[in-house]
Amino acid sequence: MNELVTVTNLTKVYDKRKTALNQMNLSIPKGKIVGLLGPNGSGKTTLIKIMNGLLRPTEGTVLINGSAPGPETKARISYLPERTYLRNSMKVKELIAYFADFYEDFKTERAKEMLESLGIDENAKIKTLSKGTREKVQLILVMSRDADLFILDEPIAGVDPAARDYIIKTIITNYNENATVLLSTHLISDIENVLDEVIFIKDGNMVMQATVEEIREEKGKSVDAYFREVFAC
Amino acid sequence: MAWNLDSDRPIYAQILERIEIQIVSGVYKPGEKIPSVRELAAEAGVNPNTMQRALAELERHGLVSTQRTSGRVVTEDMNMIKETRNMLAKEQIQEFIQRMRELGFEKEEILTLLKSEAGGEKNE
Amino acid sequence: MLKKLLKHEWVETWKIPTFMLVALLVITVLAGLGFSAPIWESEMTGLTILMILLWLVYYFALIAVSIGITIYLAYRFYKSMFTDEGYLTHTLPVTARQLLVSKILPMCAWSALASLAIILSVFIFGAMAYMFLEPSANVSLAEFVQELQRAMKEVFGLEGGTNFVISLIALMVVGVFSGTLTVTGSITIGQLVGKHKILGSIGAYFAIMIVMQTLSMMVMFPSMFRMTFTAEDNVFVVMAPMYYGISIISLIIAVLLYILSEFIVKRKLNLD
Repeated sequence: MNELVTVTNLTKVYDKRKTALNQMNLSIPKGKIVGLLGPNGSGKTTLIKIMNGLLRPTEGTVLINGSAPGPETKARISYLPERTYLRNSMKVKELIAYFADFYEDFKTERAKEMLESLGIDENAKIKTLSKGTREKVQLILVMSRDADLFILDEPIAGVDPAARDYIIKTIITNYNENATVLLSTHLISDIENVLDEVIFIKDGNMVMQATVEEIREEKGKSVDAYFREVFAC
Repeated sequence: MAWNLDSDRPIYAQILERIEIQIVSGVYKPGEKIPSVRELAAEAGVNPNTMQRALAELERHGLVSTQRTSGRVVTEDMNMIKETRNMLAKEQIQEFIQRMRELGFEKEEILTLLKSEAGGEKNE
Repeated sequence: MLKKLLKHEWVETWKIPTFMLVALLVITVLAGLGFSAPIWESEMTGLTILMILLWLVYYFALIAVSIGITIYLAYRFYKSMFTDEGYLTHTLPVTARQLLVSKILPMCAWSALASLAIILSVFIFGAMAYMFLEPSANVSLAEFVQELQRAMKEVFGLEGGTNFVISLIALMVVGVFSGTLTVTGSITIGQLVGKHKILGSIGAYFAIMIVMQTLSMMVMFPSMFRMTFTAEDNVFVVMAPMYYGISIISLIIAVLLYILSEFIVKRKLNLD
């Protein structure tokens, strides 16, 4: 089996009015870095939250390694949400201990190395850190796991270019051949060289899934340019 | 940090070419070990699978080979390096001629221009 | 995993309730010491006002501890489960049951501890008042214990006395659980409301309270009737069945609220 994630007829309706996902079908292979691309409001975050068990679908299923989202899948998924979930009262090193306690695949050494290379003091309390630094701490925690699936929701939105390069480098160096990285973004040009595949979604539907090289070869243009064409924006 | 890659051509072909150039120009010397896939991918800012594919292609050509102890090393076959160098040069020239033709130059004109430009460089 | 959750929950929440209990103890002793001042004889109105203020502070401290700890823990529960922090809480590799138990159990423990602390505080306050206002009595601890034993014997000696005490303990123990689950349950039920989740929680809280009050009234009614219209004048015999009844109702409601909470967290969770 080469599929890691299978999404079948997935539908999510908020408050009985707003349809975020509409009968979506797609599958995500193992061992690939996959871009989940779509304009704002296309359903990227909704799909990601369902995969992580933070939202319940209205209809349809998501299977990760054959299981619906639950404790087993959570043990194997490392998720970076678009918001900060760090407790203000905790110190960086307490968070590391927290992650190490709950996630068997967490590598404390790796986390400490990354903190050091970014010059973040592990004795600092979260509330004393700037927003940008908090985001980096969160990225370090997420990337220090040996998960099967990394789900990164808009990891490069709103960060400075140096941080963006660091994030991309971190993804490349920490990722191993058996892991899948699913990365949602609307800033494609920054990240397309890192991707194996892209999934375009629009209005809660998957409109295309292809490898980056296929798009470049067949269309003779970058994924970014092609994306702009498809979504006419 | 990242290598400067064109946005409209396959990434794989571009990094392949790039490493070939680095080998023929002596950045990586014959018999020398080249960085791992992961290091190269991080340096280039590209997908490790793509880098892997490019290196496998180089290996298929024989320009690099895998050694159990020291990873991938550049071939010591100077002929092969020379051949690759010529091939890359040919590609450049073909592309150049193609562009010149698009500009409306004939074969003779191109040669004359090229001679005077190359000669001019020498005189400087 | 439950052990780990409990450990981290404890580390995260022990400080403020502990501080409140220690503060209550300090205020209790200060307020008790107030009785040693010669306020009854003196003409110093300033001192009298000061003492009255001190006792008022004590009174509010009692109230603050009884609801403050609950409010603090309810806030922590809400914050860690249903706000941005929930993004971490609900992506831990644990079940909904483990999560809920790890949060509800410490809350119950704190609720029980707070109740005991309040009883102890009132007792210390009363004892100090007695000590300072009746210095002639000069009660020794041994005498006090004897007196207590005598009173206990009297209660247990009466018809239905033992039963009454058991019913009272049952009521208090169940009260700890049902009180906690009413709070966590209403916060969780509020999550079913689309936009105004906090409003939903408050609504749920009042709904649960109304149901509980109504059912309690129905249980109390036979006892009241008996007391008013029959010759039965033993309070223990009349009250025990009522306490049992209220305990059973509270217990059933607590269990139902737990089942509902687990169902919501497991099947209906929709984090904003």
